[in-house]
Amino acid sequence: MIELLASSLRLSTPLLFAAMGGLLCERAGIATICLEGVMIMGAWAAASVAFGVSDPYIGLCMGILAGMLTMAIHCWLCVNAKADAIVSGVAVNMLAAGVTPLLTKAFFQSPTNTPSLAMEDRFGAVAVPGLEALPVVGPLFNQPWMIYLALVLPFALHYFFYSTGRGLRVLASGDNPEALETAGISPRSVRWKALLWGGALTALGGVYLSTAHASQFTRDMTAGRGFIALTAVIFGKWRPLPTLGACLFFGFFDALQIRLQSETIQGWEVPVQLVQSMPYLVALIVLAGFIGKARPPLAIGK
Amino acid sequence: MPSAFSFTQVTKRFGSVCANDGVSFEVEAGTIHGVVGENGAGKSTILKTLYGLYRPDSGDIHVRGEKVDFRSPQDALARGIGMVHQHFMLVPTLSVWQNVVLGEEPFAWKPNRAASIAALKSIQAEFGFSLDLDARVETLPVGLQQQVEILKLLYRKADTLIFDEPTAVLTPQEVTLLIERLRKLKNEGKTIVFISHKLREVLTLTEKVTILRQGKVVGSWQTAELDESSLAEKIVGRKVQPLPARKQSAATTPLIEVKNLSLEGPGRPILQSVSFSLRPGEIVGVAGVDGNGQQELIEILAKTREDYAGEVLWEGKPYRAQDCYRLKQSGLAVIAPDRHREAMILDFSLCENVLLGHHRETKYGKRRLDWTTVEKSTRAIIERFDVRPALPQAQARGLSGGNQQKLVIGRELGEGVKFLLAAHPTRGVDIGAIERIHSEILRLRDAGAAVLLFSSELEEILALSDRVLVIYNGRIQGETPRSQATETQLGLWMTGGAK
Repeated sequence: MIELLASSLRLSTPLLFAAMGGLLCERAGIATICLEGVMIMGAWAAASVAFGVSDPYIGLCMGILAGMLTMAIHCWLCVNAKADAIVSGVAVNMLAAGVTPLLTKAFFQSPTNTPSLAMEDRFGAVAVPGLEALPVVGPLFNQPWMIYLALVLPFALHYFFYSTGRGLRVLASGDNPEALETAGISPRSVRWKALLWGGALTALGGVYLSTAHASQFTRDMTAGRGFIALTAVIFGKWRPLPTLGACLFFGFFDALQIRLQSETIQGWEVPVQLVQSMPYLVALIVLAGFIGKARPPLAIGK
Repeated sequence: MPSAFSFTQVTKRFGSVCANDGVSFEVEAGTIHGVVGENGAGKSTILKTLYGLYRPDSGDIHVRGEKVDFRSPQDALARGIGMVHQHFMLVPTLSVWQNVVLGEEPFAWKPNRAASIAALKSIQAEFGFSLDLDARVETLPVGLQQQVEILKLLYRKADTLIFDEPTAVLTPQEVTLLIERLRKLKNEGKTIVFISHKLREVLTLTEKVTILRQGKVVGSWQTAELDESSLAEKIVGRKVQPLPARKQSAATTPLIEVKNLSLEGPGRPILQSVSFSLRPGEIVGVAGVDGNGQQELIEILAKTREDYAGEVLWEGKPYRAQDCYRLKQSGLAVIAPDRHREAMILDFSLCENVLLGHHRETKYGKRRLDWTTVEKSTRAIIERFDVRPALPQAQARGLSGGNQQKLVIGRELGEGVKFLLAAHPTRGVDIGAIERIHSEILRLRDAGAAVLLFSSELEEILALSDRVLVIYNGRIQGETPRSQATETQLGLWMTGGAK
């Protein structure tokens, strides 16, 4: 059971990074269905660079940079060129899905994956002193450090939005950019900053996948997590703490899915396709039925 | 008295339209100065250049004797100039204090609430406001939202406050409060600029007025030198004609009968057995404070809601049994209360807007739309109602509110109208256009149409109606022929007084 929980935490982490990144962008008023693409770029850049220079931290920085650059394309299209955010988002996703295998092939002669990282070139488990020795819950406190960061992020974002002056500007930019403009602040600059930071956070989700969760970049390794993260944002009604809950919820189903793949229920082997589709089905059901009336940022897409 | 600010030969063009043409005038510090003119006269534009929202193409702006070149509202605010816009610039989802401090928060990265509230409390005390600072703005009535806007400027220590049509959205009671508040601000040493086209308010409130017409300054006067008719004349540029005498209507059989109309709202009744009838060739005015069931009554008569009890009859046939198209064909015309939501599509051209709801008329083509005819009709409307700019292919969004309304009215008052439902037909419309709209409504009546007129302006109701109904709390509180109606009696009914 505790192993299932630990696994849920590990699988929630990429969702959390992407959801928090997405939340930041969406609250600033730009729809981000491009989370998936940003994650892929982050994952690819981190794994490739970490392999090239044998240092996960430089890989991490490059992953963040790649995510910010990808989000910058989206931002430029939406904010400066006034493109539709959905169209731009789809374009960015397709770009990421196409460019990463191409680059993998160019650099590593394999279209599907980058070379495996050695143990010391990845982010290994870090024990929290004192807590890891606890009975039963001990394993929860012996994880890669990015997991702890992911869990702190929603609280940081909550503080940012609802207490700080800069956060207030992001909220205003998402709900009525004209009000922000007449108050003497340029919504364009607020949105650029929010999207760059959002891109960095989202990319961390990808970095985590390729350098902590796994040990290489494989094609399509995000497997729709960017979209699930977006679902979590909607499920959380565009607020950080409920979104944290939503990410943990989806992470749990992902963990359950892996666990059930090897199980038989009263001698009946559950078809693996059905089990694997479970997290997506849950996301679908939640989106369709359980969110009630969620109000997106008022000026999103304007 | 020292000058608060002045314009010298300021010119501003938008494409081919010249919004301000060599505008020069000065506002003295510590006074209430009216800037008056029709819609599209360039009142808002000239003050938006002062507030840094537009940059003039040529000309100089001086603030307290110093030449300035504002690139953004932030520059203007730094020099103590603030503006309350006609459409409020508030974030509905945020609280009052958050809206006020936005852009000038006490701390960038630390919690702001305590410091903001402390600062705002002292401002509220100094200027006599009593807003709940933690209330979410969208839950506040319009009058209070306007106070939030004023608070924003006071928080930024603005000493020149520009109000763009501040009374357009307010109820009569709120207008009185606002006028008192503006006087109080003036006594505290602030300079107030009051943009308006409502003559009475300008005459009661301001000390000096500058009149603009078609982008140019007509002149500046001490308000004491002017009265209502001389002011109107200077604004329009010609004498404003009194309404023509009217013929008596001969018809006795009603065209529209409303019988025992009731509507349940959440938790309380919205309409309670409303009954009245409407004869051809008659204008019936419905007076009342906004929010007493007018909106719902309009929706029912415009055929946009069906969830009522009771009966509406058109020449004896129930309304319910007929569809909108049929009703329009038999002569229903609607001037909707909210033109942006119900009467037009802002992203469409004037032509396309003129076509709305009339696309099935054979004169616009049988199988394919005949755009030449549509454009011809549009031009006819533009000419008849003096819609500006006179460009049939322009986007409706680019027109001022008054010009949009003129377009809608031109469309609705076409051929064969038998029943005109006119909801706030002159809301946000200038004097010249009001005159035009009123005489069109009267012409329609004389041609035998029945008109039901909703308006929150008692003056308008009294000027046009043959009969006046007063609605209060979803009931018809009183009814009187125009000849016997007095403002006192109507006012009493409007607040629920004796029948």
